[in-house]
Amino acid sequence: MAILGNTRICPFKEDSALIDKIDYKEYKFLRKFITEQGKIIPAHVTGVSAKYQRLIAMEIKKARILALLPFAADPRYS
Amino acid sequence: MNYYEAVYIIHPALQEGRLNDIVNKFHKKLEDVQGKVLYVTNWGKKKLAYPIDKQKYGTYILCQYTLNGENIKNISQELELNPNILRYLITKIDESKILEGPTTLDIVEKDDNNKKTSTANTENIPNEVTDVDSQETKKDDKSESNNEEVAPTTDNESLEEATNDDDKNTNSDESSEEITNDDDKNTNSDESSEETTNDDDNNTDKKD
Repeated sequence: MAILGNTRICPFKEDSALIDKIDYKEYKFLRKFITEQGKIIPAHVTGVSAKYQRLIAMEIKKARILALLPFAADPRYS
Repeated sequence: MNYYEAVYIIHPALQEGRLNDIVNKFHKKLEDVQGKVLYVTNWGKKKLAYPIDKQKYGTYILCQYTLNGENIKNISQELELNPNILRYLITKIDESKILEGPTTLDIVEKDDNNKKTSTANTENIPNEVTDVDSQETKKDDKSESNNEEVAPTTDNESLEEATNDDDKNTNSDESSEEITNDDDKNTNSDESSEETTNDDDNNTDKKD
């Protein structure tokens, strides 16, 4: 992610090969876009453009249904 | 005809045979409603991000197929009503996203074979070296397999140290066979191992 002044460039616009990785089956890649608690990180923090943030949010929610990603991280669940 | 993709989680207690039965039953149901299976893979037994039906593990199966949209209800009902399927997700996909590979169930067995070969390699290597080493490694394998079953409740670090303690105990037993007077030392070593485990518990408490 390049930083120009105070604004960031969307990683998916820099490298279009990453767009194919927005998929609930690539849940390890999607882990970059959630916090330790399991929350989806807002786009203004990661710099992802609105177009791809929508896709990421959709796929994270699919992965959550299949228990590939957590809805909320439970510290007691090991 | 549309392209669909189903991922479903099968109960972890099911062995290979019954797992294949479930997969075959699903494929039969697909063919009954004029669907066609294009790609199947077994992702293997994975840890769930949260417990489903009190289960912490599950076997993931990915199946890509073509089907008329009218019949998708029958298929989802089939997955819904099977008590051995913990969770399923059916999504509509593009034709371009169909993965390449054989369409038969062999892939499921291939994935299992890969796991078997990985474990088989670890077993074969020590057999070539010496008998003693093979015995030790077999013990390690057993302890590892036990660890995998017990794993959800305990930390990995404590398990590794527990296996090390087992090795110490076995070594002390061997020495006891040679020299009978060393029984006191063996008990001492056991106590020391217990002390180390207690220390580990304290450490984990501090971390928490």
